[in-house]
Amino acid sequence: MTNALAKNVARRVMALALLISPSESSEWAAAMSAELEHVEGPFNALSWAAGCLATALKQLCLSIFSPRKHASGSSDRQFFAGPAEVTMTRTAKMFLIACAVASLLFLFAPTFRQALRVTAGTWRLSDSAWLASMRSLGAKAEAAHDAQTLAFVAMQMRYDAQNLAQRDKFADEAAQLDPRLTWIYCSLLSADRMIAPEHVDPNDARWLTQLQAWDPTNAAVYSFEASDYRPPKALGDSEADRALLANSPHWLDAMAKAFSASNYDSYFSQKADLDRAVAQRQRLDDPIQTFRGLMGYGFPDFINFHLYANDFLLKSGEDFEAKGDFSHAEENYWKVARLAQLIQLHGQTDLERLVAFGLESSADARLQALLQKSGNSSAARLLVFQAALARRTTSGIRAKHNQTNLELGADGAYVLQFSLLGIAVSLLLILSCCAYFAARRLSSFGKTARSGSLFARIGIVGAVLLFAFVVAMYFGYSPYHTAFQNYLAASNPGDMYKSLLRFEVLQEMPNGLFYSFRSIYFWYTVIALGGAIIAWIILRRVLRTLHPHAPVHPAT
Amino acid sequence: MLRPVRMSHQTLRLLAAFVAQPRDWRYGYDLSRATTLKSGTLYPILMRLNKRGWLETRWVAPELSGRPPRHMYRLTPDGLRVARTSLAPSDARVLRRSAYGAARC
Repeated sequence: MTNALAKNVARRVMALALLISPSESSEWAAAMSAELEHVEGPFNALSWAAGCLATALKQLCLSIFSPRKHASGSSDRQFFAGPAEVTMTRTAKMFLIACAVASLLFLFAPTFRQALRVTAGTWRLSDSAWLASMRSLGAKAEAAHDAQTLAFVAMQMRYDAQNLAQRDKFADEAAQLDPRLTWIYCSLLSADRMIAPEHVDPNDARWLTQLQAWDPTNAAVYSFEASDYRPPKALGDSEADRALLANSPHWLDAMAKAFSASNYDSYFSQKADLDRAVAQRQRLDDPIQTFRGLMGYGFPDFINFHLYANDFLLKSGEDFEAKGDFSHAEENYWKVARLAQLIQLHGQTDLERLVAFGLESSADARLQALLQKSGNSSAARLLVFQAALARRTTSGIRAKHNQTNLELGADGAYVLQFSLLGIAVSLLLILSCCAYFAARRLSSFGKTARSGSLFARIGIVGAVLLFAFVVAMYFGYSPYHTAFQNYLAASNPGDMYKSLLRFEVLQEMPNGLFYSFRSIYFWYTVIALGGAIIAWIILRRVLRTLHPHAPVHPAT
Repeated sequence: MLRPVRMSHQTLRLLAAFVAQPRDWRYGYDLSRATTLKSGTLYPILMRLNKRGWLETRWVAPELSGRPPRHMYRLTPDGLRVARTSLAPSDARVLRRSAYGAARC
C-alpha cells in the first residue's frame, strides 16, 4: 500500500519534472522518468523523483537565463569558425530590464527617496553639503527677512567653525527681526563652549547681556554665564575643584543668581517647534539632520547646578547645621530644592527631570533630617512622601527609556544599511555587464562564449539583487518614515524625541563602533573589500577566458 | 569553446564507475547505486559529459513489456582518455571512496 502510494507520488513528481523540462533537455527528462520504473523501494523512488525535479528546475532556469549561442551548425564548423558568439536570450534581457525598471519606479515613492537619502546620509564623511545648503538657505531667508528660517539656519550652523561670522550674523538678524527668538543665543553660547572652551567668542558677552535683559528670571541663562567663568578643570566634587570654584567670584555670583531665579526654561520646546515649522515650510525632509539638530541642542550646563548645589549650598548648610544655625542651613537646602522643583516643573525633557530629581533628593534628605531635628515632623513626613514620589518617577523614566530602546531595536537599521550596501554592489554588477557588452560591440575584446556567459549572468544576478534590495529598503524604511511623520505631527517634545530616536540607532550603525571610529568608515571598508573581492573574481574569470588553454583539467 | 568539466569529487566517482567497466553500457539507476550519487547530482554530470562528447547514449527496448525504454550510457574514446587522465593522481582514493560508498548502500 505504502509502496504503491509512494510510487504514485513519485510518478506525479516526475510528470511535473517532464512538464517543466525545457525542450533541449527533454530527452534527459524522459531518461530519468524511465529509470523511475526500475528504482526499488518507496523511499528511493521518492528521492529519485525529487532529484529529477531539481534537475529539471535547474535546466529550466538555465534555459531562461543562460546566453544563447548564435553560431549554429556542426561542431566542426564551430571548431573552424572559432568561439561562438554569445548574447543574452530575449527573456533574460527582458527580465533584466524589467528588474531595473521596477527598481527605478521606486524612486517615485517619497518613502524610498527619503530612505535612500537618509541611509546614504549616515555614510557621509562630513556635513559640508548640508552646511552649504544651510548657508544658501540663510542667504535666501536674509533677503526675505524670514526670522524663523534665519534662526533655524544659525542653529544648524552652530558647529560650523569655518563660518562662525556668518552664523552670528544670521542669529543677530533673526533676533532683531523677531525679539521672541532671542533664546537662540543659548544654543550658540553652548556650541561656542564646545568649539573652543578656552576662547570666548566676541559676541558671547553681548548675547549673554541680551539674554539676561530679555529673560532675567531664567536660571538657565545664568548657568550659561557661569560656564564662562568656571575653571575648565573643575568638573568633580574634589576639594581641589571646590577650591578652584571658591576662588572664582564671577562663577559664584552667576550661580547665586541662578539659584535665586524664579523660573527655568531651556527653550527646548521652542527649538523643537521652530525646527518643525521651518522644516515643513522649506520642505526640509532630512530626518538625520533634524535629529542631529535637536539632539545637539545646547542645554544649560547642568554641571554648574550640580557643583554649586553640592559643593557650596548643601555643604555650607551642613556646616551651619553643625554650628546649630538651623535657619541658615534650612535656607540653603531649600534653595537647592526650589531650583530642582522649578526644573521639574518647567523642564521639557527627561534629561532635565532626572537632573532635577538628583538635586531634589540630595536637598530633601538633608531637609527631612533637619526638620525632624527641629521638631517639625509633619513637614518632614511630607518630604518623605515627596522623596518616594521622586524615586518612583525617576525609575519610571528609566524604565520608559529601556522600553523605548527595546522597541526601537537595531534590526531595521541593519536591513537599511545592508540594503544600501546591496544596492551599491548590484549597480556595480549591472554596470560591469553593460560595460562588457558595450565594449564587445566596439571591439573584439573578450568575444568568447565563456566571458559572454559570465557577464550575462552577472548582469541578471545584479538586476535581481537590485530589485530585492530596493524592495527591502522600501519596506525596511517604512517604520522610519512613519516615525518622521509622527515627529512632524507630534504635540509634545517627549513624543517628538521618541519619534526621532529611531534615527539615532540608524546613525550609529553598526552598534558600538560609532563612538570609537565613526561607523561610516566601517561601511566604506566593507564596500572597498567587497568591491575588491568582486573585481578579483571577475578579473580571474576574464583572464581564464582570454587564456583558454590554461589547464583546468588535463586533456591529452 | 565549451567550458571544461569541473572535476568535482562526484564527477571523478562517476568516471571511476565508467572506467571500471569501459565497454559496458550502463543505466542511470545502476550508476546511481554504483557511485551512491542521487539522481539530482548524477544526471547534471551525465548531461555535461554528453555535451562535451565524452559520453555516448542510446535508448534500448525494455526487457519486460509494459515498461518504458531505458537510456544507457558509455564513455566515448575521448571521454575514456580524459577519465583515465583525470583519475590518475587520485585513482586509488576515488575508487576507495566509491567502494566505501557502495559498501554503505
